[in-house]
Amino acid sequence: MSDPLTVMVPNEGALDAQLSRREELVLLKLFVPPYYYGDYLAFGAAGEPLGVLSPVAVSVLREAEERPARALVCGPGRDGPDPERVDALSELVMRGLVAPGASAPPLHEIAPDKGGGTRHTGRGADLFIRHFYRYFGDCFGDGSPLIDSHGDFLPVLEPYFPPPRPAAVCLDAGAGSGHYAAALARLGHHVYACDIDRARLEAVAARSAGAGTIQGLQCDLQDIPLPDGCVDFAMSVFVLEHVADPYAVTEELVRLLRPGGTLLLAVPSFNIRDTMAAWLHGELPTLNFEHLRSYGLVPRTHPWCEPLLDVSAHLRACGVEVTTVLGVNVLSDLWEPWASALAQIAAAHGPAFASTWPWNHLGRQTVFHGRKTP
Amino acid sequence: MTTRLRRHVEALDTFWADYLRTLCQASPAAAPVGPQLDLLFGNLTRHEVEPSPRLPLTIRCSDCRNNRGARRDSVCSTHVGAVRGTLEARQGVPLEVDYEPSEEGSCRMIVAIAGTRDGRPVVALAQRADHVALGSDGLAHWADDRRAGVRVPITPLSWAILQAAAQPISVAAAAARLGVEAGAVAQVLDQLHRCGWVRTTFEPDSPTS
Repeated sequence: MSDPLTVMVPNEGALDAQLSRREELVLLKLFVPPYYYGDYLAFGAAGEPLGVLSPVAVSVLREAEERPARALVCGPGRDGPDPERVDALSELVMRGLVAPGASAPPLHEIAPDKGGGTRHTGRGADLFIRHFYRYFGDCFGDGSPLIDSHGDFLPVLEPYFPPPRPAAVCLDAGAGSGHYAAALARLGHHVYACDIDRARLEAVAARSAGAGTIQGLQCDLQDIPLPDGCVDFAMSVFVLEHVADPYAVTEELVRLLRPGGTLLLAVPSFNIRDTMAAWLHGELPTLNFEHLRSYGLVPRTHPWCEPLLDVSAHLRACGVEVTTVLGVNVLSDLWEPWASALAQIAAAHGPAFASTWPWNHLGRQTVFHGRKTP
Repeated sequence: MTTRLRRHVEALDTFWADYLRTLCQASPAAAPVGPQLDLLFGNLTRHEVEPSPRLPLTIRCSDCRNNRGARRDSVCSTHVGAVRGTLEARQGVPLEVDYEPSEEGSCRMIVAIAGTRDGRPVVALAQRADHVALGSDGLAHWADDRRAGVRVPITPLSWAILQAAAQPISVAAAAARLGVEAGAVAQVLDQLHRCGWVRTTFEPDSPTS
């Protein structure tokens, strides 16, 4: 099949065709070196993932609002067609993302800014969170290492769970597939499993609760429909990095805790790949499939973008005595010679390594445990 | 597989193949193919790998929970891409996946060596591994495997092929240089590859290969 635009470009008349983008898109800037740096993962209006768009393609899409093809292939400040933009536009036309027409649906973009925050245009954040989690949950099931280290991480959290007796009232904020909620229920506790997505709550309901019970709550985590002080134990495991305002969610969890109740938070933290991105490129990654940290979209309010001491300070300001800040799995996912160098440091520190500053801040995941002060 | 022409609109399966290949190369897995794929996809589906010592490899997914209705395109496209990237990292060769969906959630993937890259035919190039040194006294021929710490007597043909593979070389080029049948060269290279003495890369065909 011949390429429609390369056929069209030599034709001066066709270059005057008015083109517009045809679909409402959500674009998430990617950091997946070496192949995808600065490209965008695109989702359609219905939440279906469409593939990856190059920066040039996104640039063309941004301008495709009833613009002649001639202007789109030239780009700003050029008289003649830019071959890359010609290729990009022809691929967009072939995929049906750009077509003749007057209306241009909105384009939502999510990308890091140089200041460590997140640039966000349109209502992309909310759309993306819903779309991406439905898609990701559809493709990678429970037990997958791409889903928040499910299988491996439970032993790290279990020591902080309430003991089996007496039965406690627990809350899992952002329950997902219910892996952790079910583990709590098996200890005999009553667990409120909160999630924004109904399909995920249906998955939770299908799980065995053992001696306990699980009650699903479909809700926004900033506004959980439960009264103050009704929960003995609240946890949020690899969720705060995916919400619009993690500190607001944290405050909501503290509101629900009774005095003396305990709070357990697990969030991803900087790993070597992210660190290199920051050093070499001066920006934070938006998509690292272990932790999609930066699209939460309230600039400078993400625990993983902030010094962890600030997170601890915030928890204390909320009335939580922080008892543990633990970096987990520090030596995994490192490349040589970093892994060997850190292994030597770890050996020199002995078992205290995992809990000694600053090494406790280098884990792939960080666990906060605290108690609500009376 | 380090160079690849990028498109401006990349399909989902290509993206996931690239992502998983990069991820798996950073932390190579030692598990057999089936368990590794089961681990990657969690409880989404089960992978049955039909035992075969060589490609093509047939993988059957059974009891897939999500390949139905509107979800199929994105789920299966992601699945096929992730399988391809994972296996490319393991095999070190460009692969293509022929995918046959089924309504019952029991789909079949046939994984084979990709004959082309970016539209250009690829050719397999063999190169002697760094830890293998050759020796000969005119009558006997041997290879020193420094990794295993052993000296192994080898046939004159194997010795000549390993000598020729000091630089990357195709089966056809080696056969022409040594004046032997290409089938014989391929058979010996297969054995050498299996014992880790030869690395194989796949590059677009060129007059020099």
